[in-house]
Amino acid sequence: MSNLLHARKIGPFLWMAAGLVAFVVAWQVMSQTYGPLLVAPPAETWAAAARLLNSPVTLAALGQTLGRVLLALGLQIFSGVASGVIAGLYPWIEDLLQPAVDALVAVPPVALALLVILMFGSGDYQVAATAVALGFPLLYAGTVTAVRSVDSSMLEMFRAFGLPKATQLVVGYLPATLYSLLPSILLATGLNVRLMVMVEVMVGVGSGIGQSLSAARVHMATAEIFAWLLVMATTVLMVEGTFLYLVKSHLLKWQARR
Amino acid sequence: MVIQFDNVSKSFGKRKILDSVSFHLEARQILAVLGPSGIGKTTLLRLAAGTVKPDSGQVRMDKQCIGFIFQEPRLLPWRTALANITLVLHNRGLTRDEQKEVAAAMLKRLGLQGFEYYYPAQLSGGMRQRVSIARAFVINPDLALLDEPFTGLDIGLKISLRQMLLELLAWHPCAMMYVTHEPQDAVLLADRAIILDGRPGRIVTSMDFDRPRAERDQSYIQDQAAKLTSLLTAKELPVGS
Repeated sequence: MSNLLHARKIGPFLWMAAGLVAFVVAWQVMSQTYGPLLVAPPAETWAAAARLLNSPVTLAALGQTLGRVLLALGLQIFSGVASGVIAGLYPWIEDLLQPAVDALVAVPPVALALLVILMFGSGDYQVAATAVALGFPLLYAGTVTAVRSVDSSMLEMFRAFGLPKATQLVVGYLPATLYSLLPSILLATGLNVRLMVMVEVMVGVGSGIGQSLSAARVHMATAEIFAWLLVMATTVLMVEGTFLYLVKSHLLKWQARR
Repeated sequence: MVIQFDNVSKSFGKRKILDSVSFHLEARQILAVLGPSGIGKTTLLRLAAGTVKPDSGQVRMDKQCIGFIFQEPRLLPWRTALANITLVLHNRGLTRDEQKEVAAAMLKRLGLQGFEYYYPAQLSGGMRQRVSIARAFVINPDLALLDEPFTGLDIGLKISLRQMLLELLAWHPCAMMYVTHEPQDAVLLADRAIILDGRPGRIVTSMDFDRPRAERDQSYIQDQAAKLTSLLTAKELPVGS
């Protein structure tokens, strides 16, 4: 048994399975201790999750939230990378943007969501704008660092061969920045799903996972809330996994073939 | 004349690297640059390439097409061997297909047929350096700048790359500045050698190799390399001795 647990290939899976079992047991104990109204039991949660996944309403809510996540992520990447590249190349732009970025980092997400509701009311655009504002600093800061750490010997090679600035940007700066930025984008992808649900709950839109969670809370449907948490966690893992797969199979081909 | 250095001096911060360096290079002439480490040999190449500017003096160039072979290949890891070469063919009036065709022909010339779509990480050190040589020569340079391109490679690879370079020069004769630590390399490839020494670095002596490259046999190479070594070990010699 000891050899099996330390075997290189299946050892990690066995440890993970053991961790999962321990988690479910602890969850069951908590549920029995505090009662099913506060902590829904695993079996009941699982059944609620199965019901949710069989309902077209749930799938529509998932689709709406994921759509908003993709929109927010796209806007974050565009705004964060574009401004990050410029700030990375021109330090005075970085200084100019720093107070705004510091403010976005310092303000707690909940406070920002409340501020948006107060100023602009609730709705789809407000949800996307809040999520963009929350995710922007991560990608912006990552891009500035990536641009600053572009290999100077590569840049010297470009200059030695007299490559035009536009070519340098397309074949050098952008790929180098993108590859350094991939961990930040991956982090932002998972973070966006979590943030989006929170913003949906706070801003109070009429659709999406956040709205479904709010409805379950109002009806005191604890098992359903837990089921939504389960669905959300699975969604985050799937989105991150899909992103990672796409990145490795397309963008990081040159690393994978080593 | 392809390039001329007139009393060129260069400092980095408070440290003066080169002091009043003057020499010129004719078309198809090969100049070996020798001297101790940190003396400013690479700075000389950077000045020739225009990637750094002199503090005083002038670097004059007749033509602008420069091929640079660095000590390390400096390939873009996310581009294939072929794409690393087509990179320098942008803005040279070629269509994409023509760029690929020219780059593939150059890879074939350097024995890398079949490796066009390999990424640098999939190639050996010697193959990567060959791609870097192909990148420098694919633009038919007027001036090739080589910065100890065979350092760190094993002796067999070094000999085969040296031979490859000679074949390339026969195919496309061009002026060349070749920084090396090895007198034998200098005698084998160059028409003239200059030796930098002192702090800051300046040209302390030069040596011409009068016999045509094709006629340099082993005894000539050894004899001239020994002379060059003795000049290298002697300090502060007057120019032209």
